[in-house]
Amino acid sequence: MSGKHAGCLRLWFSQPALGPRDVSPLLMWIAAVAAVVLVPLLAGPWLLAMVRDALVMGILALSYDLLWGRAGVLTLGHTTFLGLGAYGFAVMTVQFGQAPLTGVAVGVLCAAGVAAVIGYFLLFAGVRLHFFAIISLAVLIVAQQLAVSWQSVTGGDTGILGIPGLSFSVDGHAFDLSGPRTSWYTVAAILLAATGLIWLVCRSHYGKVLNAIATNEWRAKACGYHTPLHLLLVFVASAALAAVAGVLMAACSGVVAPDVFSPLLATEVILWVAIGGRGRIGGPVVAAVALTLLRQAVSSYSTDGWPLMLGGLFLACVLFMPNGLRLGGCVVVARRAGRAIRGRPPVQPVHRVGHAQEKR
Amino acid sequence: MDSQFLLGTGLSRTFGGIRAVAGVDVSIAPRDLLCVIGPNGAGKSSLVGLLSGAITPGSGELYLDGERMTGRPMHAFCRRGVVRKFQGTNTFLTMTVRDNLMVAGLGVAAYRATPMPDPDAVLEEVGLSGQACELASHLPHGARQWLEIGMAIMCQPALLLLDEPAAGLSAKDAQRLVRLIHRLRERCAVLAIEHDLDFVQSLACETWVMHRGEVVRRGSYAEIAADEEIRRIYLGRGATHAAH
Repeated sequence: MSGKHAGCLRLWFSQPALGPRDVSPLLMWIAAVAAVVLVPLLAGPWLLAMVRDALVMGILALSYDLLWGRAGVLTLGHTTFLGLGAYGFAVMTVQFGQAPLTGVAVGVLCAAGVAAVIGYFLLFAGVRLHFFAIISLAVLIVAQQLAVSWQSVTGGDTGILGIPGLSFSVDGHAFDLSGPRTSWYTVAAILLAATGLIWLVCRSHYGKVLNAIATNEWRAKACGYHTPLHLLLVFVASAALAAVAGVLMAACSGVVAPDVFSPLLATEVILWVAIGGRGRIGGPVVAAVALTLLRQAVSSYSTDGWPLMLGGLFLACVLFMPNGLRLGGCVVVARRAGRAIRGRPPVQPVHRVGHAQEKR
Repeated sequence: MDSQFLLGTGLSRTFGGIRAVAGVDVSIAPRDLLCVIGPNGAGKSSLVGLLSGAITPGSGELYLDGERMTGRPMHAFCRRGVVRKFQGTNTFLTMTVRDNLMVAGLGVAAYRATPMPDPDAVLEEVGLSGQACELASHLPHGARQWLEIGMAIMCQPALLLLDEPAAGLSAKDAQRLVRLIHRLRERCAVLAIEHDLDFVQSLACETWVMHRGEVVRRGSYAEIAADEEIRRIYLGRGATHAAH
């Protein structure tokens, strides 16, 4: 039986042959690798640190894209896991004086464990959609309150300062990943590896299965899929990846404060994925990096301007490009806007009618 | 009784005080073909729901191959070979026809003795080869019926439950479906719910009549068709119109 299951797993994750559709993602990925190698040669340490922090947000966006974009689980509290990762790492290294590697393990396991428990009780009980989203927001607020009030461990409102950078030693060789260059390469390598891995998973048959569960869970159940289990697996994997982003954030900046649990950041994650295109893997990462950099630029002029801009961008995206920003979409929207300005009736695109919802 | 694939005793289910299925005994052997007819609201779809695990019975017991399955989830039924085609259609609309079939086949591949059927062969069988790369949402209703039947074949059923498979099919397509069902029957048992009596007649198989949640008659189609009582159930007491 187990051999058969192994065979089945191989079938699920087997990769189809490379086709013309894979060319642009592969080129994008190679371009990203080239950029990662070249940027440190051109940018100064300050700019490098800023872009590195934006790349960490890219990892967060990637984890949320897997969860919401691919498996269709909407949460309003994805930063719970970012914060758990960051706090797990910080508490272990600063308060308990453990090695950074232990901190990484504790941070990631902590987030994965919380996700597994919450996910088990909610997903197996059939809690979905906005109900799940609202409970996840409540969990985020609980985590935030805990971080503020459990002063002896979390440092209260001040948070934890003086978090060491990543470093580990193998066979007496010490690897220090905390310098400006090395931390850049660490973050970028993790982002690229995670992007590649998730792309491969989504490209395999398993990606189609997740797609199917997101589209029509009831039908997937009737095809023999234990859908709550698959959703739980994705939820835990996504939480673990978000925790990795949290660990990197804490290790790179050296501080962690309760505002990592902020609902505003949790909302921003949703916007990154929506603007980058749900389930498109690369799109949300690029959107997260670009918007984080933009936020830093805008915040230096005005602190209130950013949420306003972000809200406007999101509205525009939902109204005009519900599938996310893309070049072809921009051209269509610009053309339509041009027609509207010149006062001609917009040409209705020809849709073949598909029923949005079907009866069970 | 060991030769029965599915055995249900006293299956009942009420929805808000309405007895949708009231004490139905079912036994289906591995190569059976049977048809369930009855007026709207007779409990036919609820019966399929009970047999496929989509609805848990309020009372009664259900066994598959001797294993007690009462109250087990739907995916467990599918893994043991009870595969269902839904009423209306129910497919993965955002995915292509071929991907629909792949996903349908992969879920149970680990639980079957034989390898997964080739999606292209199944596409050929249901006549959708030309639309393999179309999105399911772009298919007309009739083609979606075929797609769902194809998805059911991909699951390698031991018992295939077809809920109104001929709805929306032309008379010619319905005859094609009859031939396909007779071919499928060489591999598995088939239970079909149908309103279209011409379709039931051409299946020429054992027919059950449901009325108010109960199976009131079991017999060959010829016997059923000749039964005055059945006519009365179908047409109503003061028969003003036929219920299809």
